[in-house]
Amino acid sequence: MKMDDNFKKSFERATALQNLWVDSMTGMAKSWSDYSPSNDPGEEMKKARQRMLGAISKSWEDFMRTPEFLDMMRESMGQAASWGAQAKAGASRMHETMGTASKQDIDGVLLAIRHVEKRVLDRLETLQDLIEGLETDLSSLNEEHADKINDAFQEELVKKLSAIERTLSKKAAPAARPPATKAPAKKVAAKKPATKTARKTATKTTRRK
Amino acid sequence: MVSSSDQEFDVLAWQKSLVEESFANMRRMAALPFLHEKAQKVRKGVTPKEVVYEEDKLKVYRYIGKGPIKHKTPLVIVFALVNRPYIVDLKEGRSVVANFVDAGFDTYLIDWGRPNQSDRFLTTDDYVNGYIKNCIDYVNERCGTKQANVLGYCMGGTLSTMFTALHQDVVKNLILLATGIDFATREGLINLWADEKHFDVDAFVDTVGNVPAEFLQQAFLMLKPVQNLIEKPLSFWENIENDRFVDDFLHMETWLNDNIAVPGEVYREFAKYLFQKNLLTQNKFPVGKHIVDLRKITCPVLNLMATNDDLVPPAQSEPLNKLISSKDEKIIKFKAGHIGLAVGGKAQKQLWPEVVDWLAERD
Repeated sequence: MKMDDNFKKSFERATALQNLWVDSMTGMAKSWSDYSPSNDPGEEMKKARQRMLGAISKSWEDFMRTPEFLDMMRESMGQAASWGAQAKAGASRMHETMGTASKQDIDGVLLAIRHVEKRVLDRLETLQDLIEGLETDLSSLNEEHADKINDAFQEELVKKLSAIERTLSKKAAPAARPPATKAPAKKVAAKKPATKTARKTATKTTRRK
Repeated sequence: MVSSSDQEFDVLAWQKSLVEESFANMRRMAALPFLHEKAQKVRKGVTPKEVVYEEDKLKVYRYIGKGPIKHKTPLVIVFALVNRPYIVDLKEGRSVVANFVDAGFDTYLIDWGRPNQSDRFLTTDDYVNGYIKNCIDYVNERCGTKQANVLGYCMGGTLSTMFTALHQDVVKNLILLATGIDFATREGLINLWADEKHFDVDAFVDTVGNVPAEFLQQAFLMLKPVQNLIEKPLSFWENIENDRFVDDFLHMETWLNDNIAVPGEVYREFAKYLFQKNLLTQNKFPVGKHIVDLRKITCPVLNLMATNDDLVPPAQSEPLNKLISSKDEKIIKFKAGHIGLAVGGKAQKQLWPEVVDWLAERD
């Protein structure tokens, strides 16, 4: 039965090839039917050649679409692949005996590197998502507490400034200096953009933590 | 004169024609020794350029124009992984790049380099979400822009489409040149040969690793065997005295024979997911962890296709415009072949000025 199938297949392929040649020859013969001897022979020859090649081209294209050709292509590719795999296995065994690295070993190393790379990248991606989530949380938190933080910061600043002033006033002549407790508060109020810096500092400190 | 039934066979005319042809062949023979010298003059790319970014084997070139940059959005050209990208800047008068540079576009080109065995496990994800993303980000950073124009050619077009669908926020306008999107059609021979009934891609890639340049070259050659193996050499022989023809021919042949291997895994994904399963049109093509959804493309899209394209027939490119969400989309079908669409004399005169205008209007 199998032999019959093989015979049938071979016969079909031979028929397809035969058809290709018959079609090509018929096309080539037909191309001369438009030949006009009264015209310039050189030009006529060129035209006839064009028609002949066109006919062969069409026959080949039709042939390359036939199931027989596609079947032959699949089989030859499969055979080439299996021959390649066998050759590779043989070379691999030889390398193994000699204690040298084969192509398969190198591919294995490359694949291992790819896997490590993928795992590291996946982990980095997870960490990136985590950091982004934390940053979002922090910024919303900062916005909520921005005023509180700002107030606390201002209060602390005022305290520090008044302490400095007190120290300075103690060192200076006691009679010459008027009390200046409100001035630093004004300065702080004028430096409103400092809140951003404060926010940034706060974020940075949190990140470090 | 020999008389026939209705027409006369002019022996003298035949004799004259034969003598003329013999002399012509002698003249052609005399031109042969100068061929090598002409071949030596072939340059791979003509517009001045500088390397601005490098990653692994990849290089990004920035083309240096003579005039000032008139358009704020840069243009990044993404070429296929098969063959070298200098086809878009082949020679003077046949350069896609020159059209954009002369019009004042800050133009960049991604050169993938020559992959070796270490690249065999690179996937579409590495190219789309890795290399292309990094290149576009770099160009945007360099130009101080948030979006770039992307022009993809052939397989580069398919990669650009996937990139745009996944990163629409960084793409301002998308131009596709002979780009395969819908692989259901069996009009092209390549599509038929790559069908899963006839081609076991897994066995092939597992054996060869990177797909050899010679294999691809033979496949392209077999698409039109009579044209490539008989007509082309004949035409060259007959025009060997025509300097312009020879120069064009040598430039084209240099490029056509300058094939590079395709990374094995990318080839496997393209063959399996596109040629065999046609997943891109179904919005199911997996790129790493992501799935390409063409409906996410909202930017203006210009889809250019060649009516005589054997490699990517128009039927394979045309469906894209119906699958995307862009309101501003256009198709231009041009009478040319796959390569002629880019470098053909007619395309240079008629098609590319129109493309440049289209892009300039959307800057």
